[in-house]
Amino acid sequence: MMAARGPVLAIMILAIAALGTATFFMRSTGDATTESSSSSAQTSSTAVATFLAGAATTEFEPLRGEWTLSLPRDHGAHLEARAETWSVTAHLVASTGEKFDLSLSFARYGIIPPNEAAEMSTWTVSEIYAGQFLVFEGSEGTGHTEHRFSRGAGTAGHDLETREIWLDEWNIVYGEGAGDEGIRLRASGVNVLIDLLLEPRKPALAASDEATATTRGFSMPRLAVSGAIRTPSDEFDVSGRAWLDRLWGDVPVPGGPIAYDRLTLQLSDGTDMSVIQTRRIGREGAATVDGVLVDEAGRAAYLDDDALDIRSCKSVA
Amino acid sequence: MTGGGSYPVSWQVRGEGFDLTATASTEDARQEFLAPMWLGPVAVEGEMDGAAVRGSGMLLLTGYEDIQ
Repeated sequence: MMAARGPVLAIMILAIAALGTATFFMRSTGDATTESSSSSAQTSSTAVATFLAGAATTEFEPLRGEWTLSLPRDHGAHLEARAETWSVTAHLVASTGEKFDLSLSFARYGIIPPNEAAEMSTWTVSEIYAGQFLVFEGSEGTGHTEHRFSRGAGTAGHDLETREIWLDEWNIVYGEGAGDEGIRLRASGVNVLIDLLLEPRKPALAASDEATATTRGFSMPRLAVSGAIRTPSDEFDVSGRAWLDRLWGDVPVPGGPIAYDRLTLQLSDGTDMSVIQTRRIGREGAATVDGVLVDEAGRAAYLDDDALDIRSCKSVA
Repeated sequence: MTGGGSYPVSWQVRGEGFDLTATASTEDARQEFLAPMWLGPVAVEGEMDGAAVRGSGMLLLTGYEDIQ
C-alpha cells in the first residue's frame, strides 16, 4: 500500500546524511585520534574535539517560521541551522569504458549561533566543516578515500553571492548553466580528481510537507552527470547519473541508539528509489522500512512497511 | 574505535510491481571517518513492472560494529 507523503518519512530518508556527522562529533569529544588525510585535517582533528566539547552546551534555536523549497537558494548554506549536509552519489562511465562510483559529502556544523558569532573575535571558531570523498574505480570497486576538516576561516566556507560552498580546494557551485539548475562539483584525493557538472532530470523532493518543519531539505533523485575524472595515469571523460541529498536544521541525537541501512538505486528504466531500514543497535526489536520510488517522469510514491519487503542475502565480515 | 562486525552487502527489495537485488560491487567499503560505517556501490538486477531492469546504486550500513 502506498503511504501518504509523510514528513517524518521524508526526514528520516534525508536525515541519514547528517547522522554520521553528528555521531562523529560526539566521538571526537572523547577520542582525538580520528584519522585524517590532509594537512589541514591533521591540525583540525584535535581542534574539532576541543571546540565541539564546548559546543555541546551551545543552544541553536530550532528553525522557525514557514519554509518552502526555493532553488537554487536552498543549495546554499543556512547559517541559522545547527547542522547541514550536502551529499552526492554518482555512477559514471568513461567514454573508454571505465566505470566509477563516487560519494562526496560536505557537512557544516555550527558551534556558535550566527547572532552570537557576530560579536566575537574573528579568531573564535563558530563553525566546523567536514568532508568525505570516496571514489570506487572499476568493476571491483578499488577505492580512493579522502577526508577533510576545517574550522572555516577562509579555508572552508560558503558564499551566497558566488553560490559556492568550499572546503580546501573542494567545492560545490550551484545555480550553474541553463535555468540556474546546474551543480558543479570539484574534489580531489591523492590519486584522483573530479570536475563534474550535474543537471537535474527530475524535480526535487522536499523533505517535508510541513511549512514549519525544524528539519528541512530535499532530494534530487536523478541528475545527469558529465565531466572529467583524472587519475595519475589518465584523464577520463565521464557521464552518468547522480543522486543528491541536502539537509539542514535538527539532526539525529549524536550517538543515539538507532542504526540505519540505506539503499539508493537508479535503474535502467528511469526509476529511482531510496529505501531506508531503521533499527535499534544490537538488533533488538523489529526494524521499520520506508522508501520512495520515483518514476521516469519524476512522480514520487512513498512506500511504508506494508509496501516494501527488504531482506539481506549475504554478509561479509 | 571501529570494531569488527558482519555487514549485509546484498539485499533483496520487493514491492508491488518490483523485485530487485542489490549486491555490493566491492566488499571492502568500510569507512572510519564520521562514524564507523560501510558505504559502497551496488549493482542492481531485477524486475520492474514485468520488465527486466538493471542499475547502479549506493549502500550505507551503520550500527554493525561490535560494541566496544
